[in-house]
Amino acid sequence: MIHNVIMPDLGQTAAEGKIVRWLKKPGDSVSMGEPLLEVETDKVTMEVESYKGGYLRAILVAEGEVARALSPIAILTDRPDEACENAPAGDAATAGPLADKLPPLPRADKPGAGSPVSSPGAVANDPVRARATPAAKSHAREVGLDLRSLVASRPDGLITRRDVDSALARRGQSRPALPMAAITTRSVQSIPHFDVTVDADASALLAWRSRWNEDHPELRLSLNDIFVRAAALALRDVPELNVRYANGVVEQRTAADLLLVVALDERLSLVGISDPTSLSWEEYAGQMRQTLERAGHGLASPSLPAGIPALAISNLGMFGIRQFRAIIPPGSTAILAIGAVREEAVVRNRQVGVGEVCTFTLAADHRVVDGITAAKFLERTQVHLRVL
Amino acid sequence: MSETRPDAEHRVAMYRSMVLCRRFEERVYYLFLEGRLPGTIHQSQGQEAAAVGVCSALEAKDMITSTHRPHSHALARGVSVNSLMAELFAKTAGCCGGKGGSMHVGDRDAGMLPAIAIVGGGIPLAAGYALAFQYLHRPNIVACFFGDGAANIGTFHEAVNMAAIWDLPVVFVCENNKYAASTGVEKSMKVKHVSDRAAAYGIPGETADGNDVETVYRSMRRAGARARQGQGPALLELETYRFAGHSRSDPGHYRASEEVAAWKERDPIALYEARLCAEGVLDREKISAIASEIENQLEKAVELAEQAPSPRSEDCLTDVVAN
Repeated sequence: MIHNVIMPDLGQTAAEGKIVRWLKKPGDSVSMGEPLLEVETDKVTMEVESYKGGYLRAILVAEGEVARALSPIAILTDRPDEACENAPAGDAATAGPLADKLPPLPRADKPGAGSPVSSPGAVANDPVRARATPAAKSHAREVGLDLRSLVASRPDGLITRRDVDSALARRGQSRPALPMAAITTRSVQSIPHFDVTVDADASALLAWRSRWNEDHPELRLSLNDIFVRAAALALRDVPELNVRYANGVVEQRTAADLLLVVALDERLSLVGISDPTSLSWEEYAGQMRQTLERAGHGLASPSLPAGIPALAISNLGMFGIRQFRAIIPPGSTAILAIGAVREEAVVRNRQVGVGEVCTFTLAADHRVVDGITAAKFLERTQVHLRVL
Repeated sequence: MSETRPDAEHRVAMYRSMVLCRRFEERVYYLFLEGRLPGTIHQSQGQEAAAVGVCSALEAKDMITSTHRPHSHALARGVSVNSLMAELFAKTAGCCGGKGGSMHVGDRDAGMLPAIAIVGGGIPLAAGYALAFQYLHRPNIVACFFGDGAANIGTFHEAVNMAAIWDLPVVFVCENNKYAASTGVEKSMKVKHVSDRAAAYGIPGETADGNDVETVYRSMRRAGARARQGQGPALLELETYRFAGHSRSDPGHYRASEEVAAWKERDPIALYEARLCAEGVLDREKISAIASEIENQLEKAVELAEQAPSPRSEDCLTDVVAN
């Protein structure tokens, strides 16, 4: 028999949980009560035990990803060889048995489902003033939906968060909007950001890159690849930045892991890059390509044993942006925002000439990083872009 | 004074009751993980001897009050397993019609007021119910369960003082499980024992091993007999430990694993099982018969609860009082 493992509803303020670690891998046997995974909510990290004995057959939500409470995250079977291709995927319709039974009465698209109470069906809204629960209101505001455009599934016309979610799902953008809204709001509310900007001379790196790409047509490097590696080297040089703030304690990290903000299917994703500082350029180019390809296919980032990297990188240079200030992903300590490489009049030795310039802005968490550290980091980044 | 030692039948009944409490909590935990049970839950694994020892020292028409951690109290008091499970599932077959949920279970006919989840909230109610017994000349008492956290709440001091000056028939039972949510008792209390506070109200206080069901039973019999004879309340502190976190979203990281392991060595059920086996009251066969009987009972309770109807929206307007 196939059993869905769900993200437990950890109550209180947590409507979702992040999977920190799977303690079993597909194929492993699991006994009832044995810890199966670790889940992090906004309050705690805790082990979740298996409610059934059997075999873990499929993991539906990878480490580092967030799942809503009661949604399926893995599949168990009673026997190790049981077919489970038809096992339900991560869709609300197949969520834990309670997902259908939670307070909002049957949804408009599933009349009567999961509840013995009959519903007279969808009720159109008061076009002028929509009645909605506070959760629905704030959620609609976050994702930019007009409440008046929604249809309540409850017989009394009250719009619930579920209605907002279904409207978003119909618009086909529930996935892009939700994580970004929650993550950036949390970051801005909890991290005291400050930022430091520098114009870096990019002429050396441009020259080096053309030579490299001529010599290695199979392993071409993008400007971003070079920036990422330089940032990692600078992070290694400035351990004061490679720290993480958690519960009033500053945690020092050693690996120069990075978090790359990338656009996948028009939505922002965070991709972990494991410490590249000991790799040769050849190895590095191969690893970056592989990591980004995997991310493009929706596969998990390489596992970063040290957890969320301290430094994130965001690059809008390809869009011609000169400079910008990025938001630190929660769990990280700083984010480097990289603008476009541009030609500019530069003054050298009292002479005006033309040079290539790129502007870097480091936004950092002032609870653990000060301006001197930020300046040192930008200084080291420039060194690594001059000496390649 | 009833210093009588419980007979063999009573002892097996106490053992069975503790096992029922434990298996019920475990079942509920897995139902929760499976996503079949709504809401959060506060579980009482490890504290069964306190619930069972106290409740089995009560008479049929006595009353108990409880807390946000009420499942074992309800089972030990004899609230039906089916109605308790249905209440947790928020079904009309529940002991509160499905409108109370885990933290408000209770059944007056069984001798348990619906639990009060507010910490310390049940203590004045217990005094009030005891006042009613006294006023109506009933030969009954109230056993008032609360935790070490509640012992620092204002209602505790006010209600215990009032019960003391009026000699109300109530026994204040503090289950000291060492933690008020995550705060260790030594951080929230200057006195060593909650029972030390009895002196401040001029009533007897006693600290007993809350993991030894017969010790709890005897202490409760003594305090209960006194209260029943009109000699007023007593404060009974039962030292125990909850094996699980405060609630389902609490991993309990504030407790050292050695501490948890040491208390698990003193598992009240394992201790009592070993003693009853050594004294020839229980054997392997009886133990497994009890276990499978309880499993069947719980299986049936879950099935009934899942099949039972949910309250209708119009039921919001019943069981409420408005002036």
